[in-house]
Amino acid sequence: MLPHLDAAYNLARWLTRDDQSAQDVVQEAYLRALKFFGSFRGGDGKAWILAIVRNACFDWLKQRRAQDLHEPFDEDIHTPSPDHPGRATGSAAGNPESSAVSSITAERLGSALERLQADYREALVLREIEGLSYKEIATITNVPIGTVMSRLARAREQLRKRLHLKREET
Amino acid sequence: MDCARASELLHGYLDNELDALHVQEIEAHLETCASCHGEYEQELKLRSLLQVQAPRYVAPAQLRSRILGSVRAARRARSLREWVPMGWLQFGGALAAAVVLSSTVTYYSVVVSNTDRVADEVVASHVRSLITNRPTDVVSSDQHTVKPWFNGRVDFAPLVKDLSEQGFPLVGGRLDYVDGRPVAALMYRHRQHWISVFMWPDQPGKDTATRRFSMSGYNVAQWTSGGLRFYVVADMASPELGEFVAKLRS
Repeated sequence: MLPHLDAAYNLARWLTRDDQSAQDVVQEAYLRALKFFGSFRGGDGKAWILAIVRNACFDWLKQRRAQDLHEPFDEDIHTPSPDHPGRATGSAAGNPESSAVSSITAERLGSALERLQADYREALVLREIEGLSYKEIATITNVPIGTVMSRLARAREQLRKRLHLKREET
Repeated sequence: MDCARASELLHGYLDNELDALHVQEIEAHLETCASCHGEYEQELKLRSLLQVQAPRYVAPAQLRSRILGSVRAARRARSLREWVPMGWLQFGGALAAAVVLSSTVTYYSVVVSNTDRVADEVVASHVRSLITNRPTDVVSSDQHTVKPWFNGRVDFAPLVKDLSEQGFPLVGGRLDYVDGRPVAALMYRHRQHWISVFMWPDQPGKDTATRRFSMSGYNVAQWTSGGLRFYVVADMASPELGEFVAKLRS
């Protein structure tokens, strides 16, 4: 039995957006983990292995971006900043989300989540799907706790916008 | 508190990560500010949407065997001893044990970082109940259903508390066998985590403080109060486990 394998695979699957790639990355991460086990000083074993998995995922994402400049999701790396939310047309017109939420399917939600930039996606997956605390997420992603909170705030804002945009298209 | 500050802290509030002082402040603001309250409600909807609809992918079975195979291959090239100088601890212990021993031996039974045999038994029982998908014999979130279920099954009255309001809903209870006697085991949930609470009679008047430690990657809390001996086992981080124990003991 390999510890935390489901959590590791889930994170990698969301970050790479592909089953086969996620398996490759997780396999490499577990090999790396065993090799560097000497550097593990006790504490949260789950956070430790997830940190290795997410680093392997980001290495993978970087490599892939270098190889393929026309990565289909690349446009989404440069999402509008929260200071300029203008692209989300109609977001100021009342609260359209209240009616949208009930009609959003798992598929639509999944694809909106997959289109968030990787660090936002990662924060949301670790928080909402994996159920981890800010402290655990901060350890895994190697950022201060305050950054975890602001990333989640932006990630949720963008996710809402994306879902809203989709709703208007239909 | 103004709205800019409130929207900054809203997510910490939503995620239950604020200290009591800030919680009070933001709750006071949300009561008086309709716009921030609307924002909060939308976030709640988004959160439940994510928690209900976003899939948690499960590792395919072949991934497990792939990794074990590649670890074995790497091990042939280099001795495992060189790789794992620190010995058997949590992750490495489990991983190395999985490689060294046949896969039919489950890892909790071989990774012992602590000599507490009873703690070992309860952790094993917790893991086993999750592996077999049979964590409870009686499934109910109602303490008034779960508690009477133990009548005639154990010779003591177990402590069954409803902690759903505090974020730890009761899932059910089961009968287990620990330290050579039948014990009551309750299952609670916290987000994606499962929490087992084991209890059985101890000498009355021997209340102790909570002792916390980790074993095989699980966090464990142990204490005696009201004539019952308690063990709590969960894969939650230590502070969350501490919060749960505090609520259970209060």
